[in-house]
Amino acid sequence: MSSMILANEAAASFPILPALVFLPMVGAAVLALIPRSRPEISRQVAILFALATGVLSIVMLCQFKTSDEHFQFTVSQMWVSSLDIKFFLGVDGISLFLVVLTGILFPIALFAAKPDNDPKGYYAWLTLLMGGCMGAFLSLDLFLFFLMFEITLVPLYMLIGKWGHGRRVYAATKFFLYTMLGSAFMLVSIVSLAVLAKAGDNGAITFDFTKIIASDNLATGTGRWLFLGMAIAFAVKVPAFPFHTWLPDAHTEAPTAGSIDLAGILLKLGTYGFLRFGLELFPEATVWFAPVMLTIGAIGIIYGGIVAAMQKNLKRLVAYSSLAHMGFAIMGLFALNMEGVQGSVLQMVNHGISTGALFILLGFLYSRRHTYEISELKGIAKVAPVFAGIFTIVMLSSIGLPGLNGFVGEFLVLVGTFVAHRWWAVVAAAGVIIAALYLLWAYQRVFQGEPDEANASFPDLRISERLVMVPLLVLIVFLGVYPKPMLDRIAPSVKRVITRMELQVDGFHEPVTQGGSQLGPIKELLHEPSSGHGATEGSAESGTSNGEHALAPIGVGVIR
Amino acid sequence: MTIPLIVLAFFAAIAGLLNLPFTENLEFLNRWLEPVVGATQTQLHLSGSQLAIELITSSVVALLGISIAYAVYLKHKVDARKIELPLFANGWYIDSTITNFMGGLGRKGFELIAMFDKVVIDGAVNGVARATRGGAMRLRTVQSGYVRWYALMIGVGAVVIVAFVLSQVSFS
Repeated sequence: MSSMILANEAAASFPILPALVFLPMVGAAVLALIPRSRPEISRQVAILFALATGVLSIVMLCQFKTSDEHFQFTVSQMWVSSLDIKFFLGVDGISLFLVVLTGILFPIALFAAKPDNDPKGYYAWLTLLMGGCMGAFLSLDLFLFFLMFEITLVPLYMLIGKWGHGRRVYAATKFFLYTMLGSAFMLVSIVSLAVLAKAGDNGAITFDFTKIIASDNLATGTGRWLFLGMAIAFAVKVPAFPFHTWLPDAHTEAPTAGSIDLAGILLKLGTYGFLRFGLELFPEATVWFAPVMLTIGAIGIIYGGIVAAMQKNLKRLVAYSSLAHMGFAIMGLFALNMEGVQGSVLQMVNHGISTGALFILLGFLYSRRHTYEISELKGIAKVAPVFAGIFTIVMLSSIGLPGLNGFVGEFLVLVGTFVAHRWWAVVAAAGVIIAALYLLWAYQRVFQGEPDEANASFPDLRISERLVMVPLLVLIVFLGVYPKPMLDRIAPSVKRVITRMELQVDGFHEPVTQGGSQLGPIKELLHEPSSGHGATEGSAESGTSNGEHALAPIGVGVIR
Repeated sequence: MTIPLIVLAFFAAIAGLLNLPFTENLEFLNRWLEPVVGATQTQLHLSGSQLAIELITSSVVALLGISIAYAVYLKHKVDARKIELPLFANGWYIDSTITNFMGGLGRKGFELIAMFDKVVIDGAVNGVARATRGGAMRLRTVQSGYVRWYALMIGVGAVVIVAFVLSQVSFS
């Protein structure tokens, strides 16, 4: 492992990952130094820094080695040597698209909404938030991860508390205290793990993620307790039922950009955390807790959908729909097979795109009507057809219509869960129908019918607003029609996690389909006894357009 | 409308032809979603009679549709406008179906669950917050600033500690 890291270090001449973390933070510092007399330039500066970071994340995506399952672009700098705390960053297939999503969504959020007062502070907090999110997704040191995880709280607290609507202080305080409470459990787990794992040289303390997963010193019971501590923090962050009630309040009162980034990026810190610091760190405990977590996911899907249907406020409705969507992400993770975990990673990214887009549209709506109440809105499709049309596409993506991005992740999660635990998948599939129900019903009440007096003068989207939506719409359609480039990059790392789980946990085997002949030649390819893991992954790398080879990235999960 | 329909029908027929079992290379439409669904996709193995039932059922459904269309549009047994007008005027009844379900049947149950979320789940969260604040409000009166009060508390504490130690020590 360490030789791999060294090789990577030599290859990466430009430290792209530290740049991703620090560029937005430098931007925040620059913004803080802008004189109060020149508030108008703060927007340009913020967009400049966010866009530059976004471009860097795309560059990183282009240089990412598709079939490499290990961490890439790793950078390691000793920070506190006596405790082996390092500034240690790296990216693999699991975090790759979350980093890119952060890089894309933040500039879009900046373009999409302006603050109504004190722009300087607003933009400074937003760029700091971007750096924090990047850091959390890239950290390979437990201490650094905790630091970044906590850094993201402060900007969002400020954004909700100062630039929010209505009961903003209540919502911000609730969000902050709730998440902090969860983080306290995580801190205990992280420190205990660093001490008890004895993964450093000669059994010394270390916070190095790669060293800890390479060791196996934890007693079964200890591992389960530590997993539980991490799980509480992540369950609050996701949020998973029943720790979710901070989310509707935070979303409803947050300014538009806060909602976009909260739903699009910050919730993923929870599901990403479950994958990286749950499944990878505590394989035994993960298998042991899997039925509980699957149930929490399934409840979230149904419960979130039902409660969303009854909301009278559009932002609250989307917030509860997030509870349902993130339920899918949790369920996929704890199906513990290739389809489920890959689907979960896709679901995280897709939810970020479609819910981010929904909140942007709701921001446009609020700037025109100054309300999110469904009862105040009527017949908007008549007066603003472009707005209604774009909303329809984004809504269908959120519902999970085949051909749009939301479908792929949800479908993979359902397939994976069905193979592992049939009845949970059956329950969750009903959630797909409920999603159609609450969104279509809301659409009908808001957009259809004859507009009343208050809505008759609703202006359609301006050119600049349409342009903001273009990249998201392109992603929604592209990822729905052709998800293969994403799956190819996610698969090897997911495979690494599941293989390790099989090695470390006695009696655990990845749940795969039993019996049933698979698609003729493809089955032969996958079940060829002579072809080991390497051979099949090789065929995935070659990227031939042949249908059989195109299957390999997923197929690798089936090989025994 | 005629020309778009002809175009669509043409391509639909082509797509159907491609899926006929000539050669596997032509069946690329079949493999469209394989990167997503591939590995776990299984084929049902049907016995001859099961297969026959499936085939007959689908053929009957298709023939039924064709014969209804034949009766309505070619033989004019039923006035087509009687079917078309209300159906299209009501947009296939999609809106009204959603409204009816959400307005009536599903509503009561859904509202109950939404109420549960507000009162029980969020109530518990806010209850913890309120209890913490309430407890702190009461507890802070302990800090009254009277030295005699603090002395009393130190005395009580000392008694408790001594009692605890005595209860733990055995004089044997």
